[in-house]
Amino acid sequence: MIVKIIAIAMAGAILNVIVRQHKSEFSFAVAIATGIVIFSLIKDDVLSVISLTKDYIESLGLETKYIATLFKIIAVAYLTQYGASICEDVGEKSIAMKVELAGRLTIIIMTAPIIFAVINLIMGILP
Amino acid sequence: MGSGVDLIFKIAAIGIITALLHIILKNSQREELALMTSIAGVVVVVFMLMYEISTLFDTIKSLFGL
Repeated sequence: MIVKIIAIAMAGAILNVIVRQHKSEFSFAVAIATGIVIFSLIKDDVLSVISLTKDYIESLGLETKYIATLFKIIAVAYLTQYGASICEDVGEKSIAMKVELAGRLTIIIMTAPIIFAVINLIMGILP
Repeated sequence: MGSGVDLIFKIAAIGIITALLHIILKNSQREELALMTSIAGVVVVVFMLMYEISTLFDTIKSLFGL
């Protein structure tokens, strides 16, 4: 599976070099298409990892609410990195920085309830 | 639409064909037509990509429960 992904990535990169030379408008399209194809390959593995972790956490009897937020944060991080790297490919560093800032902010907003829960827990323990 | 690897090759093929068309039309002294074909090629590719990107984001949303 990994060999297939590497082969596709190299094919996309080589095609990107050719396309960028003649007509630079299509270089971002080839990059995005390669990203989409590679993600569609690893989709099943991601699903199995998620269900694996969720079942394990449930078997431990812990609360799964925070684990769901954790997966959401992973998704936001992945999407932000995806968008930022596409912007950087095209050469728009400033837009990439803005996308990353927005991604960090959403993650902070998502983690707020967890941080408050942890702090409340600690305050409860302290005498 | 083009699921799997042929999406990449389709987009690259459209890019190269548009580049060729651009050069041919430029040599036959039809500058504006060459520009039109280039823009048309970009529009076609962007529409194809838009469909694929929306499916990608939907799968991510359903996968991670966003």
